[in-house]
Amino acid sequence: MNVVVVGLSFKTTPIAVREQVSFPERILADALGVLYKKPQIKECLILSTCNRVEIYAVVNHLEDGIKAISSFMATYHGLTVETLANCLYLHCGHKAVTHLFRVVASLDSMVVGEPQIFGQVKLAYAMASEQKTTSLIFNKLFETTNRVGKRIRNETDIARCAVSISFAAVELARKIFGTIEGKNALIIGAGEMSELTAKHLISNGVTGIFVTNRTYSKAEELAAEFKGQAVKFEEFLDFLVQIDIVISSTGAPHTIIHKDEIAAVLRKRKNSPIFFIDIAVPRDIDAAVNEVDNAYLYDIDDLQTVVQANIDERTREIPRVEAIIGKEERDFAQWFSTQAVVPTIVALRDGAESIRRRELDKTIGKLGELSEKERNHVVAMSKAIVNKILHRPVTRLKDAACLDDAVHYDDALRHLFDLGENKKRQ
Amino acid sequence: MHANILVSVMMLCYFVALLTTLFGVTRNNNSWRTWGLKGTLLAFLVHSFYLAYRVIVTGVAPYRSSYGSMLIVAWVLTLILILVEYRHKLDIAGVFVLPVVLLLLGLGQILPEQTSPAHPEVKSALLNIHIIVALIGYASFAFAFAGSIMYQIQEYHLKQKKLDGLYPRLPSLALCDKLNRYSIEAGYPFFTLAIVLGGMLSYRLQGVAFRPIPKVLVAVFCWLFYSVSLFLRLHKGWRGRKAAYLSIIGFVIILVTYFGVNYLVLGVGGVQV
Repeated sequence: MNVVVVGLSFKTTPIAVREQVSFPERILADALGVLYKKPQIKECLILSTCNRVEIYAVVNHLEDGIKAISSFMATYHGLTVETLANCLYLHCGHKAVTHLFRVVASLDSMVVGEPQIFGQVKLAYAMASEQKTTSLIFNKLFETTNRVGKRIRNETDIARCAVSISFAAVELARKIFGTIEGKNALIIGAGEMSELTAKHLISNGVTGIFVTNRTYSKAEELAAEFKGQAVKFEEFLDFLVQIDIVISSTGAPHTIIHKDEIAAVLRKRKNSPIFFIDIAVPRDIDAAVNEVDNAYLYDIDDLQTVVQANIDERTREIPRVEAIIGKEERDFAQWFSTQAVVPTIVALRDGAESIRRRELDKTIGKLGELSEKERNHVVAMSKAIVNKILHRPVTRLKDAACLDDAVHYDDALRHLFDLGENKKRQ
Repeated sequence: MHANILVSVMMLCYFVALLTTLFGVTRNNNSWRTWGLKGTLLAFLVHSFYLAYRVIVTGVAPYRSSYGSMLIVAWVLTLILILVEYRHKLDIAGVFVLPVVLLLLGLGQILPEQTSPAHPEVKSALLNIHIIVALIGYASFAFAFAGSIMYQIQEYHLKQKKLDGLYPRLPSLALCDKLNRYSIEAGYPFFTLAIVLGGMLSYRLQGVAFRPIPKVLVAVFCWLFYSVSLFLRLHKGWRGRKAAYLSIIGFVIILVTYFGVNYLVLGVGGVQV
């Protein structure tokens, strides 16, 4: 019995191939069913995201199992195994478990520390569980995987800070204002970056969105998209009194906001702080604005520096993450190897119990009239003898389970006690 | 009363709490931070126990002596710290407040203890309330001081765009400003009441509400300073950095004048007599 993973990711495969092999949600249930029916597969789970397609399975025989999975991946999508041969990677046993933990910890992602993968793994498990393609091993494995994901996020900083300009801007806003719920933001000009930042601000609770542009109709268009309000370009400076966050990205060749103007605005605002995000090149906002008390100005370079610092921080956290993964993998490995010997222990106990029962009945029959007390003593003695005899061997078998010669102990025990074959092991 | 096992234990607890919190915050280690919080709680308990012990053993209210007053200010300050830490999950506040606590306790240890002599008014409720509210006011202003330091550091990081060091651990500017503002706004009424009661006491004992002795002058000066600070914040929009400066200067003035009056100027310390 072994855990395996067969798959391909953005690291090994271009998108053109990945998209052919992906399992979108609508076909996932069917795919799981088809895979599960194969005799080599004991349990299975499919993880299909925009960056990877991986199939996790519990198989009896390693080679057969892997062949079955690879051919499934290809033929289900009408491809041949050869086309995928170069892109597929596979891991078994310890390495498969470690790979899964690394994936859920986002160490294998495009951006280390990205948050989506955790949810994606959970969904994949939910689907497999619903389709009843998981059982004892995977239930335990994915329970552990969930815990790994949580631990990584709680105990390390790997996912803590923003590694994109727009996220970084939102984080800075939070550090200035505490909460940005109910704050007002003004978008000056237009552009992908500023719109993305505005979207992030909105999803973090900013309610008042205002847009201004030299061309009023463009301002109206963008404002409608954000359910906000358009402001005439000539009036935007006066409007700043109500604004907490400014995102500026016009194509203007010179600055449109200056230090004295902002000093005046802040006085009118009773020094309530304003956060300026200047994404434009050339810059829209005079750098001297940052000198004004309670005004905070970050241009695109500043934001990029923040992002780079955060990326470096995440990289520094990787050893801590690896340590957590290592520990959890070892714990799982111990549990897993114990599972293999459970049938033997059960068989041993069952065998001993049936002998005890037979002999007990025989003896009680021969003893004739016994008081309740006497009878209880005899029963207790029979149980005690059996338990004490079995205690050592069972404990030793469990202890040896994680060692390489567990197989030999298991075999020896089965042979010596004539317990038959261990069906869980192959 | 100074050299005492309880005192040593108390100081040690505070010191250890400070170190563990500092370590936990700088290494972003959650278990160290929890121990820091627990250490602070433990120190507070020992502190409370010591205060109670002093009352029982001496039979006199602890604030009758300057060291006792110091103990009480530090105790209220720690209480505020614990409440804020739990309410805002702000264990980093300990890094800034605990040194002030240790400073107060340490100064109290070093400087000679002054006890005010028994006075016919010793049992006066007015006198006791006057002292207690003054001490609560001081403790609030001490907390505002710590919050202002936090503000200044965070402001430096954000303005200079150096987002390393304590930046990720410190709370938002808005929260630091709130801590400063609410501490001042909470402490001010207590302090004002102390001044008023002081005047009433003076009138009752000496026939005049205001006597230009150092003790009184200094208290009124501090009160005026904080009144101006509050005015500037509420009516002139002096928030953020400016308010932080005011709170820092204000507390330094309190420390300097309190010790100056009690230990340098000849006179009786602790109580306005």
